[in-house]
Amino acid sequence: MVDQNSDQPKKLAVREQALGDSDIYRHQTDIQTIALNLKKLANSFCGSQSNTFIDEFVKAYVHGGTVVNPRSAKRSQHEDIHSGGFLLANRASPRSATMPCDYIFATMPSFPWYTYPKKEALSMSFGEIYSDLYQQAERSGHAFTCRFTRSMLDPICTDPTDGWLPSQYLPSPTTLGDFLKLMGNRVPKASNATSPHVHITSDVQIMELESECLPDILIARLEACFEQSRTPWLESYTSGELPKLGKYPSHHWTCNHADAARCGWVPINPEYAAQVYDDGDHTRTRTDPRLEFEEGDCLVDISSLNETELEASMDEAGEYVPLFAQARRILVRMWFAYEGQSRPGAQQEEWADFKRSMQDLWSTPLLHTVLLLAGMVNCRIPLSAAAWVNKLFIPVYIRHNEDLLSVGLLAKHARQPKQQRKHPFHLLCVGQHLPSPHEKAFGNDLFLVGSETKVPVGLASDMFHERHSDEASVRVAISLYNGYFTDLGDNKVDIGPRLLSDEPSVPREAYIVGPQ
Amino acid sequence: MYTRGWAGARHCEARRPVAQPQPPRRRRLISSLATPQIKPASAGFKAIASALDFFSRLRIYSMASGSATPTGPSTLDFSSWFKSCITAFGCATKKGSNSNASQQNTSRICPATERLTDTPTIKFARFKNATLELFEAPIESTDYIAFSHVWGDWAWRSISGIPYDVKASEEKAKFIANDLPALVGDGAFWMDTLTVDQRNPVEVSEIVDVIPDIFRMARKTIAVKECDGLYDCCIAAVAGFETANEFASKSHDHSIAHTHYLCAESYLQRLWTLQECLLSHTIEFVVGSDSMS
Repeated sequence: MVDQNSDQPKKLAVREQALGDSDIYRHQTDIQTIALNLKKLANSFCGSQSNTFIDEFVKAYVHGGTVVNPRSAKRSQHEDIHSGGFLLANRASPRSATMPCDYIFATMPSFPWYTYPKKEALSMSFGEIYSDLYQQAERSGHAFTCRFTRSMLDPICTDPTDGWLPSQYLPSPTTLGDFLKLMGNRVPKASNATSPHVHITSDVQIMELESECLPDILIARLEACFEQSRTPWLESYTSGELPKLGKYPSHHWTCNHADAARCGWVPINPEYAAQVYDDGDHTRTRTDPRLEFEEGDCLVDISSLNETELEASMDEAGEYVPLFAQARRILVRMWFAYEGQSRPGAQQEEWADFKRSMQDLWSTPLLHTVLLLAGMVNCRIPLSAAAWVNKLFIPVYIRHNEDLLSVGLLAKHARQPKQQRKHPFHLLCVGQHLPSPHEKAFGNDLFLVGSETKVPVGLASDMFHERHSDEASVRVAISLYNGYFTDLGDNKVDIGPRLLSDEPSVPREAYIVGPQ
Repeated sequence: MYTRGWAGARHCEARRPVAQPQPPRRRRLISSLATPQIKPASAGFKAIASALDFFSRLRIYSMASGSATPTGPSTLDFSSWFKSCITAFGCATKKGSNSNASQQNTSRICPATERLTDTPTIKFARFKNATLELFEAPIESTDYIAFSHVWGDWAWRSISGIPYDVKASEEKAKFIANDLPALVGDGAFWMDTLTVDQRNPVEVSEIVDVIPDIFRMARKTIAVKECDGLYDCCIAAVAGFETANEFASKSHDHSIAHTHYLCAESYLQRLWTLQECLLSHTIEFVVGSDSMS
């Protein structure tokens, strides 16, 4: 995806023309994107100033003119990326740079507490620059939560402090929004197992996608995710991230053998791997829908993860719609149908038509990938990292209580060996923002933590969003802090979470739940 | 390596049907001539500046001096040209003295410069007799314009008036040749593609640290838009809009005219331009005249 040493222009992925997604409303999307991006720029430049100032900015941009910002552009020691709504305004930003390191170097040197690693910058990987930023932020009182910890990527990293540090192997962001998603919210100090703000929200049951899962059940569960995590879905859609590989899934799609193999699936009955038939003058190859897959046993070399991204970008070319693209387009149609529920019409009909066409064609890799991408949106992980995440994580259902089922991501190494796997099993859902009226990030940046090691092994969905009403917030809080709250009525709840440091270490075996 | 991003120009071409005529592009001639202004100096700086002839201490690298003058169309790269300029500077200042004297001369300059400000010294550019010259000066005490732009589909190009090959898109090369001199007059300016040796990865990397200061302390930032999102017809279609929402609404109504064309405003799609805008206190938006032939 990126070549840190080449001095040549980087050719952008050619996915738009290669995937043949005929979006007849593309021109509208283009213009809407310009208007949206211009308004965001105006907002960011003008800060909290009036709408009149924003209007003047837009006029100056469109017609050619000059704008003056009375605010000082100089940042103070107290400011960081979370200040002034920058992160909120740009978390879905599609702005891009050539090199992954640019996302840090174009945003951080303006803060006086950040020291640009001048001498080493040329030789550092994105992950190393991110770790350096994490440490500098911690030292200067600007600590934030990371998304991918060392313990999530490295099974032997179980130290209750080091395990919480950001991994140096991170997916390369492709947009500013991607980068900001890799940065969690502010915390008083860098998190670890003994931090006074790191607490257990509840013991949760973890379940993988059933091997015989019915598509309708999966779809119903994902629609529940839309309800719980509407903000990240909306951000992903409006920023163009979710529909980037097209909006219209291929009807009658079947999984290509080679494509599935690249994504870690092996055929159970390879005799159905290819079916050749003659279509008039053309001989075509199509996968037999009877072909079934199971998850392959591949060991991941984390030092070669960059190659994963390279492979993924190569997959984007060609006539065949790859597994990741088809899964993403299905989520777009699903989201459209869900969003349009209040005014039933074409979107619902189109979605129903698609489901009819796909009857009996849903394969395990497709269902699994749809769930994986849904988990990524829920957990605010950039979709550009899909191939990377697929190598290291599996999507899981997280049952917080009877009313709350979410979709998250679990490190593959945190599962028991294949033959010993039992479901469901228990993990701790851990929060990094204590319940408080002033804590804006309450209910976000949730980790799945092993009860024995007390290090993160997965990610849970963000649960609280700006658009939640008081009533909805209390409902979610009660479900999230299952067992650790007192309902005071009148949309008030008293939450008393346990600190992770107070929790006794429990051997893993004790947490496996027997057959139900 | 730090490389300023390239915009989606090539990307755009890929999506634009080959057989379709190109929509009319913007041809706004930039007419405003920049007049150098005195930058309001801080009190501390004023006290020192009044006692010293500051500009006499600037190290100037001019193509007009001696052996550095090119003899024909520019094929020189930035690095070798800049080195030859340093040689020329040495000859010009030492006036027959030996190299040690030259070094003493330089060392006499530096401490005073360092006393003036903590902000770094960087390379600026200005036009002299229609030819670009570079000079080093402290950011804080220099009155200059900063340019914010996207790279586009760049290549190394020879541009009239620029003594070395420049990493620029065709459109940006036209802008530099046709519009830039009128915008800056004989004043100092900073534009990464001209003032940073893009063949030198160390120099490119080191400037990253200074970019916030460069845009914060510029007299103004000139933001050079590409002609790839809002075409003439788009501007005409939204004429008279009063609010950002009205602009969005009118643009949406007009979008049907672009069914076959990509509208992707590169300036709004690249990361660095966001930072450059947010760090600037005054931004003038312009488009290139796009009329060099």
